[in-house]
Amino acid sequence: MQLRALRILLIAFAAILFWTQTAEAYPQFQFSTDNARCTMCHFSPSGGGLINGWGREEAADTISRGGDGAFLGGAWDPPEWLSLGADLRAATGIKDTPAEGIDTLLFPMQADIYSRAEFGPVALTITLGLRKQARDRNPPPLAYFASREHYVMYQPKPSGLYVRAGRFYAPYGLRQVDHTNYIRRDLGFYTDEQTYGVSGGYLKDNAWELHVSAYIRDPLFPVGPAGSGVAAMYEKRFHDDAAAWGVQSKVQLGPDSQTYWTGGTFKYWLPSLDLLVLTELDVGVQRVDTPDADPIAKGIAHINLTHFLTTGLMLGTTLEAKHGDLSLRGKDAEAATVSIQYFPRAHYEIMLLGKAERTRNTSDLLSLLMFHYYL
Amino acid sequence: MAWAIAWAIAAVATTGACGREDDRPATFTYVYETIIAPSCATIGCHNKVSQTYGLQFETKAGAYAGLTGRACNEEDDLPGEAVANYVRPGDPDRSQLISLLYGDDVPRRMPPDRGMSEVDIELVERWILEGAQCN
Repeated sequence: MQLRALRILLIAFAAILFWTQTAEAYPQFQFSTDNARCTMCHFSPSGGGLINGWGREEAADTISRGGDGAFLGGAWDPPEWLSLGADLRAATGIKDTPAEGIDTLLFPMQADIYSRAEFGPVALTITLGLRKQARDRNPPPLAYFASREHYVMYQPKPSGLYVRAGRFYAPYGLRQVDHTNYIRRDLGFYTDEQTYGVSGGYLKDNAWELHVSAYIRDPLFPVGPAGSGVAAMYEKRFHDDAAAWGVQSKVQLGPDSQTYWTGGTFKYWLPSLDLLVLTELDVGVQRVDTPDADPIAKGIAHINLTHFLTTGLMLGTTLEAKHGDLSLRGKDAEAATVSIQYFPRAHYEIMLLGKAERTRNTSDLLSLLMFHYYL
Repeated sequence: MAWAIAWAIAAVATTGACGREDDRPATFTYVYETIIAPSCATIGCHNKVSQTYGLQFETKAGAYAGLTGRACNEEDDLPGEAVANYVRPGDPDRSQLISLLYGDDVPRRMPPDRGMSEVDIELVERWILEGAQCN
């Protein structure tokens, strides 16, 4: 057993030497698995990242076609105060663009190791991976590593008040696994755009949750919108914990522009159809500090339908649209995505995705086959 | 509600179809904040982490230096070494940046993940035509 555990760990570390990207959540499992809130399965108050003991049980029995969801498949149990995990993703596919024609892709997507140490009501969470994007001729050693999340959290009970400080995405709207979705790409939640800040909130059992965050862009390796900001979101569940509506708002204050976003989410589980509906709508205004610049009105709409064909197999369809300047012709884009996700056993996921995207003067097609292993 | 979002998707997609004429200011601040920063400074592209082709666009000064080979404030030193001169002030037709954005006669269109809208490329052309100042 110990040899098996060592072998799995070695494979994980070897993979990290070559791979990197980002860690995500699966909002499709909210309601559809009879879990009303993200914290049922995740340690993070807004979901995503390391899964807890219940999440590991659900990974085996509910979302997959069997297996043992425990860390290392149960070969070794960490001490009670320590939780460990990892996410490894790789993908291959084909991209067809008018400018470049057909291009084949083979690339790493993610290699992150998670650790969480709990000391009573205080927990320290650290995510560590390698950053393959460091291309500077003499990069600082730290540039090769990415700690996308590291924070200290005070949370006396699973429900109730919590406060955390460090690096993480501020809770806001849906957090879809596909980082190219407009609600992530254009709202400051793209890959490696986690910010430093303080966040607090209240989780009222399954009834509702509130999160408020103040943050700044990573000063050491700045990626994403410049400056600082404040974000807040509220989600209220109803319909016997099978549906939710939410509102969210965000202010981004950069050195030369200010952007204000507000929007809402709606989630609805239809058990008779095994169908989950996830929607988000955001509208924004950007002011740029330059003479004769009018405020820019923006909009993003997102709808995702996921049909659970059978245990471990789900079919997703996403339609999304965005407009970078609602008063101007040609700043819009639309995308349609169809995906099949298969969880053959606990720890494994295979995803087949097809995406078509259209802007005013171009249209791109992407097909992707992704392999995901979580420890 | 789902139908409302579906309607919103259609509304967002079609709004602006009869939009106004583009009278946006062709200043570098505007071009940087609305086009360069969101399209070019993301991870894996032109920022301090990735530095693809040596370009760092996570700040306005860095983007201006990388594109024009000049410092934003002429009294200042270049914020880093100028990699190339992608912009020829006053002459968008001979500026490599425009070819890259249109994907004309270049190995790779920029940005590679999704093409830039024509109105945005035209705004960049106007900024170059008006002298490519760091205004």
